[in-house]
Amino acid sequence: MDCKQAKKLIPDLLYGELTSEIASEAMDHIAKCEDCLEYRAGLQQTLKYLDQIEKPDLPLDFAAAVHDAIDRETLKKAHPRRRLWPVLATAIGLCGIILSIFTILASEIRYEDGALIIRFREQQTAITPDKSPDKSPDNAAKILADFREEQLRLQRQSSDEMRTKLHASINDDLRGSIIDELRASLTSELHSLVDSKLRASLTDELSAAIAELSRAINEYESRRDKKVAEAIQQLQMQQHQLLLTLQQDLEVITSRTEGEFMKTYLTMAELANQQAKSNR
Amino acid sequence: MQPCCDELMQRVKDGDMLAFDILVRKWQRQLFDFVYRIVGDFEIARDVCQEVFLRVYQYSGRYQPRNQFKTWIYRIAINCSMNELRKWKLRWALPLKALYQLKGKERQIIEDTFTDPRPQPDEEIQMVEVSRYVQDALRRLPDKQRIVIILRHYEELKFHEIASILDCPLSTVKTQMRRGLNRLKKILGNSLSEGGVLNGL
Repeated sequence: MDCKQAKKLIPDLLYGELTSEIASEAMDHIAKCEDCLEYRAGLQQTLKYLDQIEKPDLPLDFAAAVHDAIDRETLKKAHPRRRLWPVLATAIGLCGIILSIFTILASEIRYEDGALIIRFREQQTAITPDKSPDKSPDNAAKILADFREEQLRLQRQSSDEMRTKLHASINDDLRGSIIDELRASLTSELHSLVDSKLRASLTDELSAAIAELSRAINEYESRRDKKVAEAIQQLQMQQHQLLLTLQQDLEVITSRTEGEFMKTYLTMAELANQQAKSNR
Repeated sequence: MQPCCDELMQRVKDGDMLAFDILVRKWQRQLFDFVYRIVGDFEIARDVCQEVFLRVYQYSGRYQPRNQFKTWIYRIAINCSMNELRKWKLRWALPLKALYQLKGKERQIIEDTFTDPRPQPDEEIQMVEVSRYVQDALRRLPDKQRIVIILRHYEELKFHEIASILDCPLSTVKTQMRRGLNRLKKILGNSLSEGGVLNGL
């Protein structure tokens, strides 16, 4: 073993992690090599320094603080901040604004070929100024009356068109709802038909399964009862045997006890006789 | 007989908070000492330990008994400690001058510690300074070397156990240990040896 190998092994040696063979080889080299000896002493000193680091006290109520931290995390997960409503409200507000803008933009006012064109939805009116304006009151009244008449006409036209559209729409809606109802009714009839067939099939299957289960239960119960009866019989025989054995033992003990009692009695009687004879 | 950690973790998985409490009280001292030696700050060590137990609780469902609980919790502790160190940038380097500016009496006390370990009444307070001094030297090591030294010397884990925790080869662990000890020897030895910079101070 050379110095490089030995120095590599010294930390393992200091912590006792070398096999006895390798440790012995390393120690042999270190004992003969001053450089390695000094190196080992230096590391040992360093390890002693490490033992001087003091352990701080554990924080007060540490375990309780851990439980508090867990409770806080659990609470945070149970009630996440609700970000949905503000976003939804903002989205609805934006849609409303966009819709209003489009509604306004649906009206159009432009000036074309000396006439003011006002367009609202499908309706359009052109207002042409008079070339030779007559500023007399009669003319002004006429213009106003014309304007009002035009306005009424447009309104009537607009409401007729709207009524027609509404009727068409109602017819469409009605047609649509009748078709939907028919579809729904057909679907529900189909569903109930499928449902009843399925139920019948399931009922049959279920009945068969229940019958099978009942049979299995009956079979199990009869086997169980048979086994229980056999076990009881066995126990009774064992009990009987035990009783016989006990009886025999009791007889033996009784006869022994009687025998010993008689022996003792006879001995004592003999002793008493002897005593009486010696007293005479 | 006290239940082992695997049994306790199984109960924690089933939502038994009492089992979790037993686990915390069983490991709090050891874990706190370990983390404190890595991060070197009481408050940060406390927060990191809380984080470790929180993760143990949250990820209890992932725990497998075949991975030893010891290996699992050490791994979590090292990850949390490293995250915290990175966050607070606690990798600080003491100016070399400060280390070598030990006055003669302080140097004598450190030397005397190893000839007569019983602290004399006047010197007990200064023992705290010695402790801090060695802790500072440990903190100057690169993270991996420091962690390996702490796991071997203080937690008394075998090298192969450390390799399992750090998920690296055994040879790497031994190399880090050797380099860490050499570096520590240099930092502490230079400050304390007669032939070092302190000569003449």
